[in-house]
Amino acid sequence: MTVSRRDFLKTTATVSAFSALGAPGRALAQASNDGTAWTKSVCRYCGTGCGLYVGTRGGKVVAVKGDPENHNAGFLCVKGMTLPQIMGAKDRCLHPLVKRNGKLVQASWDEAMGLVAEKFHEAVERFGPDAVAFYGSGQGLTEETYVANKLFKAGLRTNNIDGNPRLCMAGAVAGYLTTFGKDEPMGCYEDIDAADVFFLIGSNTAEAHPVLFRRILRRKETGRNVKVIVADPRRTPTSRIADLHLSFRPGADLAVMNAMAHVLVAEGLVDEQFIADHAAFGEGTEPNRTLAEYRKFLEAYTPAAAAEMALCRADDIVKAARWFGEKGRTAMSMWCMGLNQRTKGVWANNLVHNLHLITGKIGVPGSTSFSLTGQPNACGGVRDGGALSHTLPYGRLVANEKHRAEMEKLWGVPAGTLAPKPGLATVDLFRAVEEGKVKALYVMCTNPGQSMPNVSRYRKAMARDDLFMVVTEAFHPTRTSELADVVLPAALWAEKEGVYGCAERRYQLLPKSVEPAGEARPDFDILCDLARRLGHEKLVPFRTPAEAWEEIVGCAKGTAYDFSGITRARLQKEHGVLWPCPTPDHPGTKRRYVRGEDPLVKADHPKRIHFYGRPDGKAVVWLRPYRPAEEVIDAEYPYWYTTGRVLEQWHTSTMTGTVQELRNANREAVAELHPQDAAKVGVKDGDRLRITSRRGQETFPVRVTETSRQGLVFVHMHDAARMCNTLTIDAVDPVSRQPEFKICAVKLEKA
Amino acid sequence: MRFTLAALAAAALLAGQAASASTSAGPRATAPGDVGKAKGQARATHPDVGAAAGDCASCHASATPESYAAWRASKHGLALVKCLACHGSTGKDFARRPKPARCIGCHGEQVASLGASSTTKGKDCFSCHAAHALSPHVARKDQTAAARIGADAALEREREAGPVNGPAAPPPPAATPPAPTPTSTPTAASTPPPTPKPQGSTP
Repeated sequence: MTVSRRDFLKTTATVSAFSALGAPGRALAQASNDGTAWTKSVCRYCGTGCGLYVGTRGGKVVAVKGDPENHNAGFLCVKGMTLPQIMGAKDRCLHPLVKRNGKLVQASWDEAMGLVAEKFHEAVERFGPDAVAFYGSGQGLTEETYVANKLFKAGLRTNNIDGNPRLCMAGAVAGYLTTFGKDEPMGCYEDIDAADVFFLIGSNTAEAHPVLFRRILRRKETGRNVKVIVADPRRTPTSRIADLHLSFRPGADLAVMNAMAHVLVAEGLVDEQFIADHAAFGEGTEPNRTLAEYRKFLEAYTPAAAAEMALCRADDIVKAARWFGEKGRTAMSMWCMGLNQRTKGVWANNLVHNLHLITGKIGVPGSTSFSLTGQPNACGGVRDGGALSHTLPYGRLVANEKHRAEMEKLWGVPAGTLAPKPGLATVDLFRAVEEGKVKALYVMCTNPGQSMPNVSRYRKAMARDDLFMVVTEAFHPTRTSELADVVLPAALWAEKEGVYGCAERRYQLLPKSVEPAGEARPDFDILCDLARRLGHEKLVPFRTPAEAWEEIVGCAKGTAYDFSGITRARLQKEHGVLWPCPTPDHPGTKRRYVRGEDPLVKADHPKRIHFYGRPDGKAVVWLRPYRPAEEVIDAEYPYWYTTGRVLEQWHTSTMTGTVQELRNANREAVAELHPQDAAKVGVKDGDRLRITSRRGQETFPVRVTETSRQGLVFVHMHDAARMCNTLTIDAVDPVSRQPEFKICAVKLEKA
Repeated sequence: MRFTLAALAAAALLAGQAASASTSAGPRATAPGDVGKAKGQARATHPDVGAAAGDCASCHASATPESYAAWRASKHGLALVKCLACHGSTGKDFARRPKPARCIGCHGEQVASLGASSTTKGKDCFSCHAAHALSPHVARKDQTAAARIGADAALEREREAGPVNGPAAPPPPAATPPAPTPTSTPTAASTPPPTPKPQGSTP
């Protein structure tokens, strides 16, 4: 079942002719007279979670259009608007594949599933529960991730279940947890419409989150004297709308943000009353410091000193701090992988929160500390759902006896079923694979064979003869499925039903619109099938994702996530609801910790804000000193290397690479180099550049551009043929275990 | 693999001239730069570029500078609604003057309202919204979106101020303080405590 672009265009033409008849927006979900039916759903790509309508005709997805009643106000980006084409891509995986004599060949579902069950059973029997592992995804549906989490933790009794959100969000999670005591942002997208100052750091919003960038753009156009600060070593398209582009040496953001706090304190731009009411101070892991000690700590971070560390202008730091701190104006911070993918990513997150806490710019419309998310369900499925190696559903921890007991009760398993020792986080997990400790690995909806840092090392691990790896994927071959022993064809996006939770705590339903391609099955069904084959059908008795949702809602009841009011029926009707939402008549929560908005703050709480995640009700301002990146440049490797997104491609481009329009745009990764560096290396536009790090070497076409800061080479992360991760470093943040994709040292030569 | 820039640019230049000439006169027949087969009614095409490094602008910034500049200063330009969103792919799927259907991804309500009033009867999106600039038909028509929000101003100032980068090499070794100039006045901040023991790094 394929949809040609011609079909697609033909349909959109008829559809638009038809829609002239109906009331726009409201009538979108109805069938049109040419037989095209529209179903309310959500975009498959990034963590913005744009609402859209899927147009289907003759059992095929033929069109999409933005949902005007959702947060995105009907807008989509170039990736979202070309979504229908991914469904009928030539490289859709249509049949189960089993490796025979070193080759993946077509097999029946029964044969493939029988083999998977046998291998996992055998591994547990022979080597114990921790010889098996699950590696999941921030793109899986909440119900899918929930079933995997339950099957592995309560069924197979291993905590070796982690997911790719470890590679993108772990720093943000630990940042929110350490500062506020609860994960997930307290604000929402609507804060953009009320912000006077935007502080964007480590985020190329324009390319990575285009629809949110559009909203910032609109605010800048319609608001009064709105200022945009873009702190980024690169001069990305995001900085086109900047009033200040603060470029600094990669890794020096800790110094820059401490210096901003220095200016705020020195110039009296702090909110003393807010600090007295709502802030504690701490160093290390405990709130063991005072405001006076914080002031003393900041003394060293004069703008001049920070400018020297960061190789930026001291004046720019002062300007940024003054704009941020100006009394009577709101300020919103947004950041993404530039802060999270770092060995000091948690600290960098803490320092953003610090700016909001000391100025009291938090918890009012337009003032918030907002972490942007890369995947559509990293928040809802993996973070909230507790599907990481150290977590249990909805804020619970593996290492916490009370939490384990709660989950054992909710899951109806005997006390002591859940193992008390946290499992292996992603990089540690693949190192265990490398050491032969993991015998059977289940990879769902992600592509570690391309997306792991220092990827050659872990490709070798995944290729081990004594490892059995099953990959469920909608596409084949990918750089991971090519290494698998069994590849299971997974239903894609509109072919299955489930819930996505985006960056602003908004839960939304994606209904099934069409039948799966070929023999593909939803991951939910595949996991339930495996559970049955492994004798855990009682643990996972669900016939539909809706049945699982009821149980999921029960797991969150009474926690800080409580979304008892987000019923299936409500998800079907509404355009997303923000948790906490404890009752069916609750409208959802735009701003957490705020009296009158957050149902977890008592109506008679004496203060307007209550950070209930911390025992004393106070958020922590952390004293985090500047530390450079794990690997810094030297005489042998004299250039900084960083990687990231480009507008038209997404992640490892298994989806965007199948779309005709997107194939014509930035399909091949390039290395961006500053003109002066290009001259030094002796390359010009279009030449090939060999880049070498301590871990590997790869060759890319060069784009000579002032986007790149001098001394820094930037490479696109999506290309499967030239993998940027051959070079990246697999050092991790000691707190979040998230790797430092964003910074390492390289040398450059003309190829 | 890079497509042949020169050939493509030449074709694109001609197509671009045709496009700008046709903005007020409505769709034209085959443009002089047309390549490939035109099926049914004659229409402009664009040579297929295949999988490419770079985007449309890699050629069109110089091949059709007026169109590119108008787009870049527009809301679409700022929000990165790039050429492909409206014009589609290259090869047979290229549309010189996009049909309104192409706009429904984001402007479903507006497309649906086309023809509903006497103002829009018999018209398409580009009858009123100038191609590439796509200026709003009500307020501040004379000013681009980029000008309204002062886009690129900070980058211009930054360019004028010159680079703040230190030398790319040789930098300070990893274990020493990060301050790039050893002669600078020592402060507590420029001599932070030693780097913590590397954790989780590659052996």
